[in-house]
Amino acid sequence: MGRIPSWRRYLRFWGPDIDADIDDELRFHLEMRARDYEAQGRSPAEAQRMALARFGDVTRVGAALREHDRRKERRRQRRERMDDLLQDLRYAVRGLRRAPGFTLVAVLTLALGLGANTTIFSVVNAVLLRPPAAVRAPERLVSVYTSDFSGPRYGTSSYADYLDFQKGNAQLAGLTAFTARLFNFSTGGAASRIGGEEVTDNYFTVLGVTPALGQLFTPDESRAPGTEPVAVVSYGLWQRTFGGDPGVIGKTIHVNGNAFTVIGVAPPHFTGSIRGVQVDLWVPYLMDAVLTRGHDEFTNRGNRDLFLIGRLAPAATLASAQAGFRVIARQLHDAYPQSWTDVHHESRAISVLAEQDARVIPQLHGAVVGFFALLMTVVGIMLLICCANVANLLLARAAGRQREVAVRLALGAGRGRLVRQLLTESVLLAGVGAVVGALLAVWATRLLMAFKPPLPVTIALDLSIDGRVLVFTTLLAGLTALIFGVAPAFRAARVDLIPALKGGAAGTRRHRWPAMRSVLVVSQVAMCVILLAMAGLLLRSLRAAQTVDLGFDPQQIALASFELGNQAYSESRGRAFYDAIVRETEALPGVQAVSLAQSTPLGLDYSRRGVNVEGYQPKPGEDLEFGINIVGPRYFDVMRIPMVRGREFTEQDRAGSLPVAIVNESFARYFWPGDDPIGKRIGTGDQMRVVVGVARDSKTRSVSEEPSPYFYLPYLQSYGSNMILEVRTAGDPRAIIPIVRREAATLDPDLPVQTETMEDAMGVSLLPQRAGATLLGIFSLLGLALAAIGLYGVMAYAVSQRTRELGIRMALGAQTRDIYRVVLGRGLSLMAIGLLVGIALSMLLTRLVRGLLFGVSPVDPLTFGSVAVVLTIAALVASYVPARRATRVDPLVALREE
Amino acid sequence: MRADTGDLLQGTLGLLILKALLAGPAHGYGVARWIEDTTDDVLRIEEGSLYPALRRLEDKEWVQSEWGLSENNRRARFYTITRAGRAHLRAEAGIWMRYADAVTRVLRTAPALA
Repeated sequence: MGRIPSWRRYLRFWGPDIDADIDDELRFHLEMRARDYEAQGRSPAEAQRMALARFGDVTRVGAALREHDRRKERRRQRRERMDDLLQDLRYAVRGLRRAPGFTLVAVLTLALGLGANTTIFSVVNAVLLRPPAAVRAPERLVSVYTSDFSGPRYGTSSYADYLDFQKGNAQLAGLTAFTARLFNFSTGGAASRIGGEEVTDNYFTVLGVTPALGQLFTPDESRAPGTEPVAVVSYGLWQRTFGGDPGVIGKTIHVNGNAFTVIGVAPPHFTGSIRGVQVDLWVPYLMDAVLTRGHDEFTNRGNRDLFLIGRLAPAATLASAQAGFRVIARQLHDAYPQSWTDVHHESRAISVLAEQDARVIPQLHGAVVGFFALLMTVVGIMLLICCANVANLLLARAAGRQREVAVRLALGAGRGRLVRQLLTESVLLAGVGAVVGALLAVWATRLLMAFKPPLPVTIALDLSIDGRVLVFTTLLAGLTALIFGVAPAFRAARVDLIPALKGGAAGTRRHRWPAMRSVLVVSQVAMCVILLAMAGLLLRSLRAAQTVDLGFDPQQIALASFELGNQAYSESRGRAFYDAIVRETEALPGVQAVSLAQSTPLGLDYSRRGVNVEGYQPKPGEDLEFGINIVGPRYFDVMRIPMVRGREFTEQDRAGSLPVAIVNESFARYFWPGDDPIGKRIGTGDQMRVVVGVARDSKTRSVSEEPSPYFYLPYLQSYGSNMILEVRTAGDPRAIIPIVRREAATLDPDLPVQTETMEDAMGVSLLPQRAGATLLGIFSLLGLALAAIGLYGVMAYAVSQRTRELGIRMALGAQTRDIYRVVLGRGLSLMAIGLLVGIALSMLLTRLVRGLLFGVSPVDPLTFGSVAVVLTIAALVASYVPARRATRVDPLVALREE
Repeated sequence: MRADTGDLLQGTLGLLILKALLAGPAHGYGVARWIEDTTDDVLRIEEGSLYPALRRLEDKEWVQSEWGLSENNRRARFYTITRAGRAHLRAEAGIWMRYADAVTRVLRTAPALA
C-alpha cells in the first residue's frame, strides 16, 4: 500500500466519484486475476476470458455496488447538512444572545412588518380565499346568474325562472335560491332588526348543511305560498337570545309581526351565503307572500331578487353546467321573449361561476380585489422599509464583527459556509419576527373584528389566523430573510484579511461614505415617499369630500328609520303612526323642524323611477329613469335645500288635492331649458303631476357625482310604508335620539327603530376612503419613523467612522458650522435622492388609489410638497444628532486614536 | 474435493473475509486469493458476491476501506478490519467451530459411513 497522489484529494472536494471508484476496483480485480492466469502460462486473451468467467456477472455486481454506494453517499450528505444546519443555528442563537439590543430592535421591526402583512392577508383570506364554513364539498358548488336587462352578466334571477332552471339542467344535482332581507325579529318583547335569508326549501340540502339542533327545511313541491311559517335560527342567535336552550325547538317567534315556529338551529360558523354578512334567521321563500306582502314575486319573471346556488351533479363540470344553461336561456328567450330580451334586443344570458369565484358578489368583485391589492401593496412597501432597516442593522453588526469573521476565515472556514451561517442568523431573526408578528396580527384582527362600521347588517368575517395565513406568513418571513440578509451576509464574508486582523475597525476603507447603507436609506426614503403620498392624497380626498358643497346641510340632523311594511301595518294605520311621530317629535324641546323621507342622500338606499314629461318626445333609447325621493312637508327646510323657484310641499298636498311634484335644477334644465318649470306636468306611472317648485341641485348618491336630474314626490300623496324620520335639532343631534326612540316605543312597543345621525349615515359613502386613509396613515407614519431611524443609523455610523478625518479638519481650523454642513449636507442629499426616486415611483403607483381619490389630482403638488417638507424635517432631525456628536470630537483624541 | 460455491453461506463468507483481513489490510483480490490459497482452492469463493459482502461488512462497521496503491503500483481499495470486526470475528468463529465440531462428532460416531 503506497501513498495516495495528493491531487485526488482535490477531486474529492465535491464528494467521491462513485462510478469511477467501482470501475477501478472491479477492473483491478479482473486484471490481477488475468495476470495470475498469464503467470500460469495462459495467453493474455485466454487469461482475460477466464478471469471474467470466474468473476461472474460484472455488470450486475457493478450495478448493485453503485446503488449501494449512492444510497450511502446520500445518507452521508444529508447527515452532514443536518449537522451544519444545527451548528449554524447554535452559532446564530449564540450570536444573537450576545447582542440583545440589536436582536430586540431587529425582531420588533420585522414583527411590525410581518404582523401588518399577516393582518391584511388574514382579511383577504377571510373575504376571498377561505371556503365557506359548515358546507359540504364547497368546491362542487356553483353560483348561477341571469344577465340584467341593461347588460351586466351577473344579475339576480326571478322565482319563475329559477323553477325552470331547476327543472331544465341535468348537470346540477340541485339548485337553490335565496334572497337577503332585514327582518323585524322578536320573541315577544321588543323587536330588533336582524339579517335574514328567505330560502327555497332545498337550501340546506343543496349546501349540505346539517343542523346543530332540530331539523332544517325539507323540500315539498305541493306547498302553497304562505303556508309554512317555520324558521331556522343561527347558532349565534340561539346562544344570544335563547341562551342555548334546547327547548327552543317548537317555540314561537315573530318575524315582521308574523308568528313563526322555530324548527332548527343552524350549525356554528354557518353565516348564510353572502360572504361577510351575518345571517341569523332563515325562513322559506314562499313565506315572502306574508312577510313583505308582495303579490307577484312567484310568477312575475320581471321580479328578480334571487341569488342562485347549485351543486354540480357527480359527473358534471362547470363547463357542462354552463352548456346546459345556454340551452335553457335559448328556450326561455323563445317562450318569454318579453322578459328574456335585454336592452340590446338579445337574449338574456345565464352565467355559472365556481363557488371560489363568487365569494364576493360579482358587481363588487373588481372593487374589492382592487382595494385589497392596494392594502397588500401598502403593507408590502412597509415590510420593505423594515427590511432595509434590519439590513442596515446587520451591516453595522457586520462592521463590528469583521475581526471575528477574519479570524474564522484565517482558521479555514469557507466563505460559502460563512455566508450560510450569517443567513441562518437572518432566517432565525425573521422566524422569531414572524412569530411575534403573528401574535401582533392576532391582536390586530381582534381589534378589526370589534370595529362596527355604520351598516344596517352585522359584518361576519372570520379573521382568525388559519393554516393558509400561517403558510403565507412563513413564506413571507423566508423571503424577508433573503431580502434583508443576503447582501449583508456577502458583504460580511468579503473581508480583507490582513488589515482586519491587524487593526480592528481599520479593515474597512474608512474614508468613503458607506455606499450600501446609503443605497438602503435612499430606497427606504423612496418607499416612504410612496406611502406618505398615497396617505396624503387620500386625506386630501377626505377633506375635499367633507368640504364639498353637498347642496344640503347634514349637521345637526338625527334620523330614525321605521319599516311599518314589515310589521303588517295597513296604509291608514301607517299614516296615523307617521302623523303622530312627526307631531310628537316637533313638540320636543331643542327640535327645530321635522320631516319624513324615503331615503337619505348619500345613504345606502337610492331609488330611480321612470317619468314621462308632457310635451317631451324621448329620443330612441333615451333612458328616462331618474333618482327620486318621497318626502314629507318641510323636508327642504329640514335639509336646508333652498328652493330656487316655487314652493315646497305642505300639509295641503294630500291625497285628493292636486297631484304635485318638485324637481331639481338639473331636471328643469334638462326638459325645459330657458322656460319656467312651474306649472309643467310630469307623469310617474300612476298619474300626471304639476311641478310646484324647483330645488337646488344637491348630492344624492356620492360626493363625487355630477349634478343630475332628480325629483321629489309628496309623501302625503304617495304613501310609502318604510320612512325615515328626519329631525333638525338646535344642539347635538345625538341627544334627541333616545327621546325619539322612547316616543316611538310609546306608539308601538314592538316596532324596531334604527337611529343614527345624518353624518354617520353619510359616513358609509366615504367608508373606503376613510379606511384607506386611516390604514395608509398608520403605515406611512411607521414607515417614516423607520426611515428616519435608518438615516440616523447611517449618519451616526458614518460620523463614528470619520472621527479621525473630522478631527484633522477641526485641528486645521474648521468651524463647528463647517462640520454641521458636511454631515447635514450628506444626510439631506441622501434624503433628496430618495425623495426624487420616491416621487417618480409614486407617480406610477398612485393610480392604485385613483378610484378612491376625490377632488385631488394623483400628482397633487400640495401633497407631494408636504411629503418633501416632512421628509426634509425628518432628515434634519436624523442627521442633527450625529452632526452634533461630530462637532464634539476632540481633535487630540481623534488624532491619537491609532 | 471442492465445495460447491453455492454452499458458501453469506454469513460464512463474511467470516472468511474478516479472517482474511486479520493478517492486515488487503484489497478485494487479495482477500479472494488468501482464501483460495489457505484452503488449497477447496473454498473457491464466488467473486461476484465478494464485493457486496465487503460493502455489508463496511455498513456494519466491521471493516473500513481506503484507497491506496497496490504492490504493483496500481490504485486499489484496501480493506481493514476494525476493532468491532475483530470482536465479531472472535464471537462468530467460536460459534462456527463449536458447530463444526458437533457435526464432525456426529458424523464420526458408529456406525461408520460407508
